[in-house]
Amino acid sequence: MKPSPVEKIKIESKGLRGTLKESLSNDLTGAVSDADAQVIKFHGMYLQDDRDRRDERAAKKLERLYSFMVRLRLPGGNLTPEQWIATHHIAGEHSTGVIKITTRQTLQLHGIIKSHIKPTLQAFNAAHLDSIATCGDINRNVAASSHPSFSPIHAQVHAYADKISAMLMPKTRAWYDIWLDEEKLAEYSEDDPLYQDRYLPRKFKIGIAIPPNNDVDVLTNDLALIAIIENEKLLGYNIAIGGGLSQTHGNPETYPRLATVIGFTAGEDDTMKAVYEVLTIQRDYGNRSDRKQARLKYTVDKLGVDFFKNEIEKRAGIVLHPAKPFAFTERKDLFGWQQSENGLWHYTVFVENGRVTDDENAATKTALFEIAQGGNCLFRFTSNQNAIIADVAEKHKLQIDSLLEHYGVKSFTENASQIRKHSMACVAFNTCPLALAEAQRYLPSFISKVEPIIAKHGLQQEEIILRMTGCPNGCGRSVAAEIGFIGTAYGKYNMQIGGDRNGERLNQLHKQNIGEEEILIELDKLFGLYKSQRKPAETFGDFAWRMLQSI
Amino acid sequence: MLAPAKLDALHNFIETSTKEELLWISGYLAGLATDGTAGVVGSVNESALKQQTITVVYGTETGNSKKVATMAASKLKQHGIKTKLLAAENFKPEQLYKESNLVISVSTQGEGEPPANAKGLYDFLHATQQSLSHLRYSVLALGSRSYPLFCQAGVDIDSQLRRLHATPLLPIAMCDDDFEPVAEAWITALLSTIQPTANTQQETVAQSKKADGKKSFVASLGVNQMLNDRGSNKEVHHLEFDLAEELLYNPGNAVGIVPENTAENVNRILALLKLHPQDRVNYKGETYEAFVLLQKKLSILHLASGVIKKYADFLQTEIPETRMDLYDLLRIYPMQNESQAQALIDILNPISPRLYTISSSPNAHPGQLHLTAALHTFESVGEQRNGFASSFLTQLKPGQQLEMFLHQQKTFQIPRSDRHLVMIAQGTGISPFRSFMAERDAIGATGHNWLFFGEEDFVADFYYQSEIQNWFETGSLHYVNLAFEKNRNQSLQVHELILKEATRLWQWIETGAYIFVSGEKEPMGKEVENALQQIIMEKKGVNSEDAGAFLKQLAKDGRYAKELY
Repeated sequence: MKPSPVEKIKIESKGLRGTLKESLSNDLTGAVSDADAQVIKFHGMYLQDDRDRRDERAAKKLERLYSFMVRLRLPGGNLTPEQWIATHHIAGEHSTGVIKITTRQTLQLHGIIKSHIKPTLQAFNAAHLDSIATCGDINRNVAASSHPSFSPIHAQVHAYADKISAMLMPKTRAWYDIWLDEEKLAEYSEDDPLYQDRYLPRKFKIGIAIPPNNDVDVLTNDLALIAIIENEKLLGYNIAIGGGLSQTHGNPETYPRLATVIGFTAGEDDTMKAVYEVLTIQRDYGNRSDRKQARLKYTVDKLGVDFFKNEIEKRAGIVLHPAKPFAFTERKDLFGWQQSENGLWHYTVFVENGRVTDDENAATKTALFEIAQGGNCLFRFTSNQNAIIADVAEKHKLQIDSLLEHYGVKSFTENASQIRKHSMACVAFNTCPLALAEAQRYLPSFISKVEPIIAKHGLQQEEIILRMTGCPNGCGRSVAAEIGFIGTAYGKYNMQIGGDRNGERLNQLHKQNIGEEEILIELDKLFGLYKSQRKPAETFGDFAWRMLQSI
Repeated sequence: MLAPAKLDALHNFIETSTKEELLWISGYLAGLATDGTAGVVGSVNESALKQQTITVVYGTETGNSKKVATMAASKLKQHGIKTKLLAAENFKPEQLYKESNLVISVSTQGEGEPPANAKGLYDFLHATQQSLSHLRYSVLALGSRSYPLFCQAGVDIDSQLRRLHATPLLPIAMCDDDFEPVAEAWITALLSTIQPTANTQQETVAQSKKADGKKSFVASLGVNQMLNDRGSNKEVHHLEFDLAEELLYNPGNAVGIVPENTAENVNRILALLKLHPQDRVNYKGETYEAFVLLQKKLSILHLASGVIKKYADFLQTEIPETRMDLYDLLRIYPMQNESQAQALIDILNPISPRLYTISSSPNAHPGQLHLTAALHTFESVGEQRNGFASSFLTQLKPGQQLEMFLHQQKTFQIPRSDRHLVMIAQGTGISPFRSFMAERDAIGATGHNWLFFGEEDFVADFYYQSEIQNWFETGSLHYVNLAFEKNRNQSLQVHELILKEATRLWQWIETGAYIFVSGEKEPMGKEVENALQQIIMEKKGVNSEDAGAFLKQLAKDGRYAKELY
């Protein structure tokens, strides 16, 4: 099979340098060359354009309004107040101003034009932040359960996320070389035993969950680690492989898949080894000719779980033990103030669609900025796109609370409906080149239309998980929701139902290619049936699943 | 034996003549020289005059179709075939009836739909019934086999063109995700299909078009498009006029336009003058309807102080020396009685015509004339005002008729097509160079082209960016240096760019390149001239006086031309 064109670009990229320097100095365009648009992903950036403005710009004989999205590498989603302040200023100076919390616990800025990339990355670097390998065919940001109060081992797990991230970084200094004008280090070898010169066949995502909360949606990752805790001690991790939600409309060879638990590794070292070798197996066996068949999930289904188990044991020189029992009972953020066992306080802010900005709901951006200026907390981001003001000592709690109150953050967090707080959307229009339908821009007003239907059926207290994505690639994890919408064309969605509350069962297609009016009618019908026919304590997802199976 | 100017003119003439024409001319001249009677060799083959041009149009969403179209256009040009490359949104469907060879590269969206920018063309082809039997075409369709309606938009366009009796040059080519191999094979096939015919007709460039004198003509506005994007401090309009009959002009020519006063302003002045719009009044020995005279002939805005003084004398009133609009003058210093209206009209100046350099090319934009006009704003007596002519032009509506006359700018004519050309522009100074580039691109000129361009904002003020990119990508434009004050890595002024490129620029000058400068006299024109002089001093090792003389000689030879305002 002929390798896909991207394979050639990777191999010829001279350690992910490509011709980025030439592309940067090309005066004529705000874009980079086609090959560099692939290479720049490995530096944590996507070349995008404002899709709303295409026709208008074309009429003006101007090229598309190109800009770049920069995504930070934040294993576990942690930031110091100084780093938040730096990000706040960088966003204002070089991007659209909105700080976007992603569905994988990191931050990204949109609308950075080509000449602003270097100043942006230099400013991030000065704040000890980077964007290395946050996009592209490589291990991306490592996600880990967010809330410090979940467990005393929280800090241990987060340190571990950092270690994994560091272990799986590419060895090339290209990021420093290109964006910081770093002099080439003579004695430094860029030989990369893990990625070699071909990197992975496709993106690779790792998540770590601390049961019983599955807030990271751990099974949707290529590689999932589930912390196994006994007597408040971390014993090791169950390893699951082959998660991934992307699919392509009309291509039955593509499908979403949750990760399969393949065993348990005791202790950190063995787990590290196993993780590393899952990547090398995927590197060696993954499909490099068809990018729509290249994710680990297809490799796992092609080679079988047993092959993977044996190969991991052989390559890592470890023993994969039988998986330990674990149970997820929820998949959500704990909004408002929570206290952890060490006595520190944590406030989870509801950030609608993860867009930190000042709007009519709340001056969230200003509030977080002023709280950061106080310097008495840490910032954590969740896989549900919310922000946690973490590690607040009792004596600082009141001051932070009054800022949250003053800027309307508290009332928005407390008063937003359950359905709104448990919903999520990907970016989609106007910047995502893959979007077929609206998501992030549309979800808030869509939820406003769903809320009265929920109220009509008296379901306001139900924490139903509703998600929307503008295309079938799955950034908003719609197929892992109780109610999922997947964009098919502008204004049209596939409606999916029957996913479970905890993220262990994917939903199924219910109605194909329908618009808002039909969606609302359908929701009204479903909520009515749920209200009248649910079993005690049955979630909407489980009810819908039961209903789908009985048809 | 011939003076440089005559020699150049002769070269110019020879260059634009066909073999047959030259043969004919040589006989004619021989006859003239020997016995004073022109010899006759026979007429030029009319059919050979038709130049083979390929128009490559792309409809794109992700940029892949554009990439293929650009590859195709650039290959065709390399083989000496006149080629135009256009984004589908810039291709007017009516143009189908004027083209003889059309190449379309188009992708497919969603459920077999064309990309947004090709929707117009796609719909037109489905709707029209008018035959396209004169047209030869080839379609390359891009798509993905993972979607059910593979390459459907391209397939539809192909079948519509067949329905309209156009002749396919090649069967439709359909590309999957990995489009490059199919696209390359298609381009090769296209070349071998077109080349034999193209070569035989290649040399028949016959446009010994002499620009008309001052004959005026009427053009109707087709498009009025502001070029600046949102957030710009500028307002530059691209105006496309449709010509009722063929206009013979050369790139570098200008048109004269007499701006008109707004009906609103005219009416309120008529009211103050107590005149009815249809009342007859005299001006310079002719009789007009009052409304028409005020709207089309008389300068009534920002009156010259001389005019105001005459009015003051006439009223025997003190009016401070200032400039103001006629309306304000009549409001503040009213006439004493109605019979004075004619006397007032007598002292008003006529509207003087304004010249605008044409930004279209006769070969690239047949049947059209384009202008690039900036809305000029200035401050007067503490008030922000818009320029009379520029606000008139930029506010024209499609469908409006406008009278204009052609104005040759003898020292600013497009150089011979085999000469290298350096174009230095600031702001709307780009307009003649868009004409030069479009022309040189359309006729497949062999001379190299180098553009320096400066404006304020890269994102919002890069006039004709997509066209400039196409010329660059297809090899018609060889170097581009840009000076934008905003949104660039480094912000250099145009003259600083020139100094930075001193070595190459001097090489070009030494190999006979033409240097054209267009834009504002101050400071750009001055600074550019100083920079050129500095380069000459350095490279020739001469003092400033000699460098100045060198530049003067270049200007005399027609190799250094300026259009500054």
